[in-house]
Amino acid sequence: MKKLISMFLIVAMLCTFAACGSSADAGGTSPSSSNPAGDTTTDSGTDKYKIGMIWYGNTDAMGGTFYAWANRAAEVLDVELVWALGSYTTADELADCENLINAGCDAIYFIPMDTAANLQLGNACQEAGVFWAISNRDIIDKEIYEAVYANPYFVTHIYDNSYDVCKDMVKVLADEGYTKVCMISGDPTDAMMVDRNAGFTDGCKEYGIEILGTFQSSTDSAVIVDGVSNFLTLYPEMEAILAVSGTAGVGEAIISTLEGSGKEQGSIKVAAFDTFSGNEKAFEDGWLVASCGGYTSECLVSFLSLINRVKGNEVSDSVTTLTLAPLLITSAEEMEIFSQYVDNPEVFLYSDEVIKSLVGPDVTANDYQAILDDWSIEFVKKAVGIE
Amino acid sequence: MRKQFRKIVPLAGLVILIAVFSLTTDGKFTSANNIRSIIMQSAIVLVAAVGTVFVMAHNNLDFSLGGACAFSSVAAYLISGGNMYLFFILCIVFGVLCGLLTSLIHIKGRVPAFMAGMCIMFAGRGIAQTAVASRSMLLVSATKLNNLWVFIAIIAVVFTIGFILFNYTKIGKYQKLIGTNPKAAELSGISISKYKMLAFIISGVTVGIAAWLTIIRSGSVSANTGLNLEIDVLLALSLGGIPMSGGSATKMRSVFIGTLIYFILNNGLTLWGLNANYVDIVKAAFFLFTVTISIDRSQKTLIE
Repeated sequence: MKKLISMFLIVAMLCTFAACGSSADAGGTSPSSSNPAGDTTTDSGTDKYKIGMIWYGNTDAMGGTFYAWANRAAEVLDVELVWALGSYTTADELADCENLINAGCDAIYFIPMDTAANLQLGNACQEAGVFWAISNRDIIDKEIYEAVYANPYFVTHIYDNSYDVCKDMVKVLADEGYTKVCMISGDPTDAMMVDRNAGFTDGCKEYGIEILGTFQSSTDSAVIVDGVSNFLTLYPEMEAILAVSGTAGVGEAIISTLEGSGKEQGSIKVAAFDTFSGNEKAFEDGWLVASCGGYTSECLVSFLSLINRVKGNEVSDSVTTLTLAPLLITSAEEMEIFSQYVDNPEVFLYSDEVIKSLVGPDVTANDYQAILDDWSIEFVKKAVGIE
Repeated sequence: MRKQFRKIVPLAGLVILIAVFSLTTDGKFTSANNIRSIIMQSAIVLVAAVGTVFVMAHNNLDFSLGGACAFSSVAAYLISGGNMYLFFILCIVFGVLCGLLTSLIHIKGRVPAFMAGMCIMFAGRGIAQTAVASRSMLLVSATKLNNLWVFIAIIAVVFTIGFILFNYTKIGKYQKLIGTNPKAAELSGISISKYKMLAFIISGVTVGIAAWLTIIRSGSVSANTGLNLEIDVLLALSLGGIPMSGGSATKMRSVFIGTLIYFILNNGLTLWGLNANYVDIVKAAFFLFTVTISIDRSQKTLIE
C-alpha cells in the first residue's frame, strides 16, 4: 500500500512538472504596458485586481487599524486583498511574497522587517512583473537603496520622520528642566530604529541632556522590567527615561516597573515613541510626558498609490517617495483623542470619497503628500466631528 | 492492520493535499513558479530536519536549532567578513560547535537533552542579538545563490548523505538501537555517549547548512535569523510520522513527507485566498488530525 501511494505520488509530481507552463508569463509584462487608466479588469481579464498584503499582524492598534482601513478601501475601490499575516523575518516575508504572487496577485504591499527584505521581495516582484510598495521603513543601506530604487516595479516608499519627532520629545523634557536621562534604544540594524536612536541622542546633545545609561529594547517584557529596575538602582539621579518604542508590551512594562519601584508617582518621567495600553492613565499620573504614534495614514497612502499604479495610473516616472511626521502627544487630553480615534479599527478617519479621490489619472504625488502633511490631532478632531 | 494504517497516514495526507490543491486552484498550485517556491521555502527546514532525525532516533529532542542557526550565522559572518564560501564553511563549523556543546551538557552534565538544547537556544539567540545590535550584517552577495538549482543540489546532497548514514552505517543504526532499548545497546558494547554525540554533531552540520540557506534567502543576518526553526522542524517531523520516542520506527522519509505537508499546506491556503485570520486554525486542525491518527500509542499501553 505504501509503495503504491509512493508511486502515485512520484507520478503525480512528474506530471505536474511536465504540465507546468513557462514561468515567464507574468515577468514578460513591463510596467509601462499596464492597463490604461480607469480599466478595472486585470491583464488576464478577471474581474478584480488582486493585491497581496504582507502584514505583521492585526491584533495590535496599528495592525488592526490598517487591516480594517485597507479592507474598507478595497471594497470602495473594488479590488481584492489577499492577506498573509504573522511574518517577522525576511525569509518568511519572502515566502509569503512568493505564495501571493503565485496566487495571482497583481501587486504586493509590505512593511520590510529587515532592510534586506526590500531587496529580496523587490527582486521576487520584479521577476514576476508585479508592482510593490512599502511604508514605515527607510532604507538605510546604500547598496540596497540603489538596487530597489532601480527596480521598475517599485511604486511607493513612505517612511515616518521619526528623527525630528524624537528630537521634539527630548525638547519636551528639556523645556521642563530635566537633564539626566536613561535610554532604551532600538536595534541599530532596523532602519526605523536608526532614526529614533539618532533623534534621541542628537536631541540630548542639542538640549544639553546627559544620557546616563542605555540598554536595547526587547519584545520580552521581562527584559524591560529588569532593565528599568537596573536604571533605578544604578542611576538614582535619573530623572527620565527615553524609549524608542512603547509597543509589544514595552510601554506597559516601563510604567508598571516605575509604579512598583516605590518612587513617588510621576517622579520619573517617560518619553516613549509609539503608544501603548494605559498611556492615558500614565499621562494623568504624571509618568508619561511625551508619546507619539499614528502611522496608519502612511500605510494607507502607500497602499492607495499602489492600487493607483496597478490600475494603470503613473504618478511619477520614478519611485514616489514621501514622508509622514507621526503625531506628537504631550497631554492626557491629546492622548484621549488619540486612544479613541487614532489606531482604532472601528474609526475610519478617511471617508470613501477621500479614498476614491486618491486613485485616478489626475492624482499626483503632491496629493498624497498633502494627505500626509495634514496628519495632526486637529485633523483627527475634524474627521470625527469634534470641535 | 492499524499499525500499517498509521504508517501510511502521513504519506496519504501529503497525496491528498497535493490532489486537493491541484484540483481547486485553477492550475496555480501546479505551476512551475509555485513548485519552485515550495521547494525553496521548504529547503531550510528540510535540511535541518535531516540532522534532527539522528537525535530523535535515539529518543531525544533538540531544541537548540534556532539559537544555533542564529549563532552560527552571526559568528560565521563576523569571521568571514562576507566571503560566501568561507561563510558556508564557518556556518557548519559553528553549527557543529553548538551540537557538540549541547551533547556535552547532556552527556557529561547529565542534563536532559531538551533542556541542554534550550540552553543553547537561549544562549545562541542572545549572543546573536548582542552581536547584531552592534552592527549591520548585510550579505547581499549571498542572494545571488537564491536559485532553485542551488537549493535542489543542497537538498539532494544532504538528504542522500543523511539517508545513507542513517540506514546503512553504524552511526544511524545504533541511534535506532539506542532509541529502542538503550540498556540492550549498552550491554551489546555500544558506546551510547559516543553515538549520541555523533548524532548532535550531525544535527549541528545540518543546522549550519540551514543557516547558510537562510542567509541566501534573507540577504542578511539578524537577531531573528532561524526564529522558530526548532518548532518548524519538530512539527514537520511529527507530520511526517516520526515517533517521538525514536527507535527502529524512525524513518528518514518523515523528513520529506512532513516538510512538504507543512509548506504545501501553507502555500495552498494562500492560493485559496483563505481569510488570514483562519489560516493558523486550519493548519492547527490539520496538524492535530494527522498527528493524532499517526501517533504510535503502543508504548504508552506498556507503561500503563
